Amino acid sequence: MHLKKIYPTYFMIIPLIVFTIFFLIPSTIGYLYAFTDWNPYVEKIKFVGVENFVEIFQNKSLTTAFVNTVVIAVVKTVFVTVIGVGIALLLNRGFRTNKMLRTVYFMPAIFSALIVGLIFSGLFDTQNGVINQVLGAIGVKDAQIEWLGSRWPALTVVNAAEIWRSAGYGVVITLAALQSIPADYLEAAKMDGANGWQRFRHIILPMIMPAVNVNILFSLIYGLKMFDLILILTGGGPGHETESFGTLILSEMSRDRYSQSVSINLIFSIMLVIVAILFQKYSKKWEAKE
Amino acid sequence: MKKEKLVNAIIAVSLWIGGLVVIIPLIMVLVTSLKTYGEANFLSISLPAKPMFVNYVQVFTEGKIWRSFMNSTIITVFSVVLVTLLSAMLSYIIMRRKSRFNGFIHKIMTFGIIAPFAALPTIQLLKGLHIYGTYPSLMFVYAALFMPFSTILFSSFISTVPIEIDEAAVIDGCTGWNLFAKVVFPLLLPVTVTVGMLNFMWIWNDFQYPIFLLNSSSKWTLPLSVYSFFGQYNRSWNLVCADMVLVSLPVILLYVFAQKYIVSGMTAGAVKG
Repeated sequence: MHLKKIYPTYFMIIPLIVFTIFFLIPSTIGYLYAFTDWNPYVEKIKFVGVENFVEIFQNKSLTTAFVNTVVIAVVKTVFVTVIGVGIALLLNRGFRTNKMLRTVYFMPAIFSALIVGLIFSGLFDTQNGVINQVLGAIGVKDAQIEWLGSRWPALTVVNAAEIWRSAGYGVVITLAALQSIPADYLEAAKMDGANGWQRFRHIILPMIMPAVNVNILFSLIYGLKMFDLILILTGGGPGHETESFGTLILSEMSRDRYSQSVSINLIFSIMLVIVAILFQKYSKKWEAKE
Repeated sequence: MKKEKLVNAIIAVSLWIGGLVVIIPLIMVLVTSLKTYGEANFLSISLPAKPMFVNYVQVFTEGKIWRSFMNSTIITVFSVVLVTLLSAMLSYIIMRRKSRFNGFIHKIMTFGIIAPFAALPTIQLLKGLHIYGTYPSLMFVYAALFMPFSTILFSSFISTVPIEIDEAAVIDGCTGWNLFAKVVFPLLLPVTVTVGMLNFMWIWNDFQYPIFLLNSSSKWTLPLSVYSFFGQYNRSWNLVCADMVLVSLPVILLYVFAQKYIVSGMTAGAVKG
């Protein structure tokens, strides 16, 4: 019998229509608005070429957002990967409470960014926050640090919150990869006299590398897409000092600078695609499994 | 052997101490939610003099939580059903009818995971369709945005379902929708549960898309209403924490009863690719 009758085409067409209308069209030809003078007051939108890009590239807030976004993504990725591999290796030793510990370490990942953001804004509160109190108790004089009051301390808090929230993914994914390594590989290496480091370097690491790569890619992409925690913790402030690409798009939009917002969105989209392509190119092991 | 046991014990103890970084903030939220206004002007781990369950009642009455709870439930449930069904159908056809087209679908799905949300173009498109600000618009956007990841999970599972099952059913005269709904879909139950749970968790917790796509506060989802509640009651950490507990309750329950499915989904997506 014909495949098309057994597996009807409309099964595929319906999902693809939804995907095309609600994602693909806005994310491709929707960006044409970046080349117009669109804002809520303009009556007839007209084409202005690359004018918006010239303007936003002269604007300091784009550079700030770019630096913030990259710093957040890179720092987060390093921490999540290192913590993920480290804790997973320890958890994989199979002592009695390791399943419970896995549950604990993954737990922050189930909460909304809203919850995580509010918790961290409480912990890092200037007057009453636990962090300042602990710093005071261990002898830091005048531990009244205004964590969210200036750029780098605020970004540190944002990053701490992001790492707290997503380290569990790193742990769980790496642990699953570790558990899929056949025990006799390691047994055989032990027999041949390989020490702990050698076993890690030559057996464990190559076998978990695909999972670690996926982990790095997702950490990078979601780190670059950072939006909600910044909105809750700093709102992009003070000024536009802690804005990321994601929040800058919202803030330009709420200042009625529609075409500029779309332009930034387009730059952001191109940046993410480039990062993903470069990463895939350089992590061939991940590619090989596809 | 004895040395190994000792090492393991030390590791277990240090990991539990490290785990306190996770546990302590969560306990703080829980105890603070039961304090009086005076006790709770900051987040701390001290116990309340007397547990104030009345905070939860107050949050319900003042925080308009009931309304946004209903909004969140409607939006989440329909979006999850939509994305699960659509991804299952798409993956089924992709995996069974291996065509030249597949490589292209794979590419645009990957683009779907990578690309950022095109905020204003999406809003403009929804306005053009005259559905901006409605429940269905948000549901369809969620369906489109979450389809790629769900499709990866379904596809890798469907590739393990033997095609002989389809062949046997076809011989019995079962094709098309019947074949899918009566024969194949029931076999996909484990991955369906995983996809459903993960999407439930992500959509329930989500905060970004409603900000852009819901313009009236009467349609706000829970995270949005808690966000605005926090703005109004900045210093009432007891009420804010009670609110946070209520918002998290469904995902906590999900995690307690279905951790297996959530974790297996995360790892299957990543480890198998």
